[in-house]
Amino acid sequence: MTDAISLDADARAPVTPPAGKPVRYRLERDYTELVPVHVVWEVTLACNLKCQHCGSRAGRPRSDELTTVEALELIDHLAALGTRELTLIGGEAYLRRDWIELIRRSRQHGIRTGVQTGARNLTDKRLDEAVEAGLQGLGVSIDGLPDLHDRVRGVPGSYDQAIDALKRAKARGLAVSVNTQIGAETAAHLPELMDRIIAAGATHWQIQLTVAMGNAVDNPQLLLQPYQLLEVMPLLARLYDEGQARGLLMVVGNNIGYFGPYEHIWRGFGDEADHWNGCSAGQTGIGIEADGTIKGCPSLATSLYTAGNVRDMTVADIWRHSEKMSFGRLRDVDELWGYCRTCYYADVCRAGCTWTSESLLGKRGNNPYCHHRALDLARHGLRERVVKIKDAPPQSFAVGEFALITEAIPGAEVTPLPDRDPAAVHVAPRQRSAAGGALPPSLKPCAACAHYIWPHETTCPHCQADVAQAEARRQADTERRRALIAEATRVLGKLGVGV
Amino acid sequence: MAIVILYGQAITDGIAKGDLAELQRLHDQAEAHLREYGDIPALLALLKVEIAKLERGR
Repeated sequence: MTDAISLDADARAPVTPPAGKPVRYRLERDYTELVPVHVVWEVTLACNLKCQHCGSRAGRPRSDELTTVEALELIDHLAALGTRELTLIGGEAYLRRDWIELIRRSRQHGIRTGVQTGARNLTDKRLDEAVEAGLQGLGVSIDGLPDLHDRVRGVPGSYDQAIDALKRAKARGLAVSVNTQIGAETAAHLPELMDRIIAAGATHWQIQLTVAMGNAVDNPQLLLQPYQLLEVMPLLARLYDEGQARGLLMVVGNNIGYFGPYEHIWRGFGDEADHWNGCSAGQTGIGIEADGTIKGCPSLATSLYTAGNVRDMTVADIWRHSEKMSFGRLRDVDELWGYCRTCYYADVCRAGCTWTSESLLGKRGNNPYCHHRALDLARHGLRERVVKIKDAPPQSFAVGEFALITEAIPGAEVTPLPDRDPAAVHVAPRQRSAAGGALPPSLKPCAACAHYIWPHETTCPHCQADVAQAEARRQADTERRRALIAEATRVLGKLGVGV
Repeated sequence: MAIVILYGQAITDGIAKGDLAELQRLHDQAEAHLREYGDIPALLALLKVEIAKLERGR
């Protein structure tokens, strides 16, 4: 189900995404007209959990969090900019006294509104009030089976409270989802965790990697090593299929990728036209800190990416004019470095998630958390791991520094990576709109091997197939499948099944 | 164009689409129908066999 967006007459025209697509789905006009489609707002830094991986080091509220009047006005401004979805996070969002008022105002604007929570002491009263105010979705963070989750979250019993909250939210008609961070120990928990969250009523499961920021820098043993993607990604692909068959849709986060053998499976929920097309910070999304600090993405380092504060200027002016907001609109392959600079996907990928790569290596543009890269290295007997070399300061969203080590896979024969010419990287022309936005490039999957390729390719660089011949075979397969679907639909319809 | 997944609540209004999801949905519906009403083609084949046996014995 999607929500039609209703805005004031002088604001943008209503936007309804295509059938089956979520309101968060980016349309071409979102890029060209610079629409902050999805806003993630840390409404308070107060928190009742003690997560070892918390990037914002949540616990106590910020000393100067926005007042109710300021917060409500900010929602009005976001609606005028065309925001279609708002996620309230923390800290713990419901520890802010006026969180119900914020939900109500957001819903009055027709903005799809959800809360992401650790769910400790999320009482029935709180849930009832949120539902009455119009809350539509509740996401609960669960990072593994009870022992791991409680240890990582720092509070015994927090797993049980999280599962219980899912069930109670489901019973109240909310759309319920789970977020799971993948660290060094998580993968083995995922199959059973999937069983448990399906049983608790979750319909969507967001997966992302734990990032080296804040408390996670203090606990680097929690981080997945880049080479572990070789095991994690096939597992995720299997669970995606199994979950889909059981009514659970896996949603891979922006730091899961990129362009490996599974990209065509999960990024578009079955629509292969959708693929990773680069960090969206400052292009179609906004992050807000509780004191009114505005960033292009909620997770970016405050010290590096503060674009402004709504107490000093309007969110619209920050959004349109701040240099710290527009970096994603203006960057090109020349700012990439390391492996990513000469990668086949350099210009469309832009080194994946900026938050992940910059927090780790102190400079965006080179991201070892990449399945395509891990596979390429493995073919040469190599792998990458990260080692902390500098602590993070005590502030919220603080970053440390990690060294990236390339080493031989134990027991493997090492062959050197080929020299790749940076000048040979394909760069797609981008036409910038009057608003300053630009459409990202579109690739298509090779019909023979399913890896994404640039539109100009005649021979697949991954499997060497003749692109046109493979596409013709795929078209024939598609027509046969569609005929079967039509016939099955007709027969079952006659029987009164599924109509 | 694209789905962008920031750190926040998961998308909850998206559904899996495409031929695979559709084929699986139809497969599940057909199996559910067979479970409830039985397999008519198999039943028909058995009826034919038994009819043929009886006809041969006349």
